[in-house]
Amino acid sequence: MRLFEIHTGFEAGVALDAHLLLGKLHYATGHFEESLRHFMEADLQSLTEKPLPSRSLKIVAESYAVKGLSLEKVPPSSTSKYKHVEWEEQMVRSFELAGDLTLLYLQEQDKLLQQNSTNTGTGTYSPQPTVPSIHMGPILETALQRAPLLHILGGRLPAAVNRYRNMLQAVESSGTHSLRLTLTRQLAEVLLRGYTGTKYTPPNGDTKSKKTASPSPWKPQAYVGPNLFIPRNECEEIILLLLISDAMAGREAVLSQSPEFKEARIRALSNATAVYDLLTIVLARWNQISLLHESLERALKFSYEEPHIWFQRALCLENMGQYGLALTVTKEVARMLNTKVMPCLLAAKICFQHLNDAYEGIEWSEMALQRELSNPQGLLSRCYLYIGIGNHYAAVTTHLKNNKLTYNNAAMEALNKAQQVDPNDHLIEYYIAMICSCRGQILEAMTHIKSALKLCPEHAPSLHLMILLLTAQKQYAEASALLHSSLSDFPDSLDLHYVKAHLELQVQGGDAALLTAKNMLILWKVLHEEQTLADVGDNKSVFQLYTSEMSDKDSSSIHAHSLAASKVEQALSEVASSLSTFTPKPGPQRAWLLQLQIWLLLAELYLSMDQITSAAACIQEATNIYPLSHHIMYTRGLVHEKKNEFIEARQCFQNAISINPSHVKSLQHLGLMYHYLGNQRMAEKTLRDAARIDPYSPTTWFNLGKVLESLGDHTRASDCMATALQVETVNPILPYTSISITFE
Amino acid sequence: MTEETIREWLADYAALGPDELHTYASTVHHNTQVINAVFAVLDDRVKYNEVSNHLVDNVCTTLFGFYRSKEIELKRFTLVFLPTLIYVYLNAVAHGEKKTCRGIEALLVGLYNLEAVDESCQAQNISFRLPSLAQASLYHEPMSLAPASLTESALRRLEECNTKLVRWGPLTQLEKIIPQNRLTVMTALLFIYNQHISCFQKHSLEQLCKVVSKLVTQGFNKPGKRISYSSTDVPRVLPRIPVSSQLLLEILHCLYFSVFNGDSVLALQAVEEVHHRACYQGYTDVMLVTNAIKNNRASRSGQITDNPMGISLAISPATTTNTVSKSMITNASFRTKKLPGELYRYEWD
Repeated sequence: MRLFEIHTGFEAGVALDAHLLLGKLHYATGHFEESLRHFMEADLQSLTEKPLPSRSLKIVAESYAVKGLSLEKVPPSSTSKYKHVEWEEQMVRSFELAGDLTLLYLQEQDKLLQQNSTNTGTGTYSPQPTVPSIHMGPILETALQRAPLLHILGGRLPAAVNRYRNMLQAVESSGTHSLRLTLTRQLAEVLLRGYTGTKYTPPNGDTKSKKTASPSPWKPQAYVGPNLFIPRNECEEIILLLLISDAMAGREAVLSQSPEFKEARIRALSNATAVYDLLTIVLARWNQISLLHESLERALKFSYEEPHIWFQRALCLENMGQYGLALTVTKEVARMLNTKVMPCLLAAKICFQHLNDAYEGIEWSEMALQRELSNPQGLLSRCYLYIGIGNHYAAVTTHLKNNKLTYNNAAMEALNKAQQVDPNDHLIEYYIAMICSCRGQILEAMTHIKSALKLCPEHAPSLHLMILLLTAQKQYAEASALLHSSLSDFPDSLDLHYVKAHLELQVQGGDAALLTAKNMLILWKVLHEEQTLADVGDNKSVFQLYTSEMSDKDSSSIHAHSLAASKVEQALSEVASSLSTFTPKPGPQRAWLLQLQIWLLLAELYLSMDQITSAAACIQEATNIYPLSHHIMYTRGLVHEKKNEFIEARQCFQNAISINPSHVKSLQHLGLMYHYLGNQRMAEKTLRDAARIDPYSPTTWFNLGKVLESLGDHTRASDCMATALQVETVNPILPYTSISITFE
Repeated sequence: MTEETIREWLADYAALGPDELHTYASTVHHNTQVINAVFAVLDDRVKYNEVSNHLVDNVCTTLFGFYRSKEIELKRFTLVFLPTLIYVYLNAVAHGEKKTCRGIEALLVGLYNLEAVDESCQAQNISFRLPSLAQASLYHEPMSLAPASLTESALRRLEECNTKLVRWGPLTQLEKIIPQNRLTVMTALLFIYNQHISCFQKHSLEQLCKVVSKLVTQGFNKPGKRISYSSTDVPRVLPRIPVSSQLLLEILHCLYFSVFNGDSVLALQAVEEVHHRACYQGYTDVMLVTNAIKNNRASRSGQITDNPMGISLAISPATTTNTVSKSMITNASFRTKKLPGELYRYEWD
């Protein structure tokens, strides 16, 4: 009877379908062996690969999937290795076939759907998606993802990668969106975590798709085209995959904030975040942070109050040099992560290092300290250090004697605490030495700088400070010996060359110094010319960069600027560039500003050798780079002074001071000009201003003495001269503040 | 014992004929006794250099010989020790004992100079194109991924795709290591190490994690761990080893690989330590990566254990959510409106 049924069944052509259905049913009830038997009877494995109608495609695909799943539950009873391999092969093959058929089926469905919609011709214009959502169902989806995983489990990495690539090369259909999101990420993960370096082989998509132009009708349609981007190495492939994944994750991201979608929103977000994290891991190593930032910026739309995304974005911005924006984002992060110390420290660092805003930086450091104290995160010494650095720079920029004292004391107190917490840190010692130097406590400074160098013998800023300290003690031979050895350690440091030129001017005269300055120009060409040629696309304006990039972490900056001065210069330049023919030089402005400094150095050297025309030519070169720097105006004043054109010189120094009121050298010379022009009261006032800003400059006191003498005030004049002599013993060849801020 | 092993190994290699090299190369990685002995000698180089003349130097010479040979396996054998060599060297420099490790320094410079040029003595550089979604690829077509594929920057990248490459190198050959280039050289060497990382055995990855740990934490007080006291009861503080952000990024690449192919606990511990160092130094690019690795682990710790390489199976949610999803707004909900057919021009007569 049963036989008869089967027989008639064959005739009716339904036996196959019936067996496949029974197989599925048995699997569902947990009878895996029964299920396999039915597939066997249906002769599933020997079905010929011929075009099938859409319905059958799905049935066959599901049958293979179920077969694979059943096989997985029924491992071979014998322990023979051969059997085991055979079993595994069969399983993988079932899943692979199921996968291909599924993709094909979904592509066919899309085609049908398109036909229908063009037939009816009613395009809908609602903002809602019109996707009728064809779902492949969990069985098929599992089959698709299972095949490569089995390869990986079996240690066949190349096969797994191949499988992923084949699936991803199939043209996307509406049912495979979320699957492809997963697959692209998974393939990227496999490539990144196991298939890297010398093991990697690139996909050979083009040749393959041409060869199999008419492949088996059971294979899904793959992407073809004349101008396909085909990855040639692992970085290209991983980044491509992740960008695709990112675009899809962004598309699926849930924007609704209402509680009913919370689960879906979190899932979509974590999908997207996983992609960003992988992208970060790949891109940071190649310094392609801006590409990462693009993705993170798109993610903001669905990352409301998500601290991870925001923090990553803040870090990106800091890295890309967009410090203002970075600070704003960091503030948000500090609010979201209200116990974490790091966002506060980051904000403080941006303020100190790039925005020249010591006061706000101090606030952030104090907040960091409070958080660290109530919630220790191992950064206590850093919090104190940052407070110290902030107060030091506040002390440098303030003009009121009392404020200076308060800031200096606060800085010292913080740094001492930092040193108690972390006695092994050279940076703390360096800043203690720096503060001592700025207060004229040379011997104390020497002790601290020596311990800094003991902790970190190759710390360039410490060496720099040590050299200046030696010059302050007039130990020129020692200073130049140390300078020499430091330069052989850091031959590319323009800072050290700058000191060298000044030292040589002092000790050996202008010729040697001139040679050094010329070498600096050559060095500049080697180090920076390529940047200025390569980065033509860098369209940031000169003005933003003036403040921020002079003290960039990898640059050898020469002078630290005051915030006010750079703001004024920025404003003036904006006016100038709109009025005159001045156009900023292409490329990173930081590099150009370094060149400007070198030209001005040359000008000063020529002046010292009475070569006024050469000096003027150098100033002209500097003017071509950036006309409105107060340094240029100051140097121009020096030229007029040399030519005894006191009125013009006075004008130049006044210009310099109106841009940067705390430029001590300009004040000193302006005072002198008033003195020469007979305006003694103005001279005295100007020089007193200079003395208030920097009480340790002997030139100021000497000039003031001369002025007072001509006023007939001999007692005060002699006091000034005495002071001049006194501070002369602690006066370095270049101001200590010429060493740029460091966090290394 | 260790000394014995090393001497035997050195003698064996010296006695090899050129035709035996290939078979020797294929077995060298299984000789765990020698590998451990070399690690031991490098760890305690002062002792071994005292005990027997120039043992460390001889080891370095042989390792350099390995690296210069045409056998890829011998080359990799040398690379296995690279992280340890870098640590030993940087540590000696930090102690101010650079003179005691001339052999290691010479080996490192030698490796670097070998990698700076390719076979034809051209400066070597590795470059790749930055893909743009605006160009169709093996895996996608731009229209289906709009609007992400059609941003201004995506189009710019498309324009620059074949001209503006992301580059590593070219390296300039060096005569000696000075403070200015020291960390750059170490970074470049670790880059080479990373090229081969998928070929190393599990225990060399473990060794890597331990060395990295020492490199980034030495000289710092670990929370909960007391500073080690030497016999004279004076607190002995080890010097810190200076690092650069590029070096740490390269290290993180090794560690990330080790998380999935080596001892994941050790590797994750090391990532944590690198993270702390990056926070301490304020390196934003390093923090980006450590945050990413940590977040990646934290968000899916539940599923990791059973799947290889931490790859997660993500079955899309069951159809039950479909009913609500009608009113759910996603980025995909915003579609560009199709214009109804052609635009008509009106005739005014």
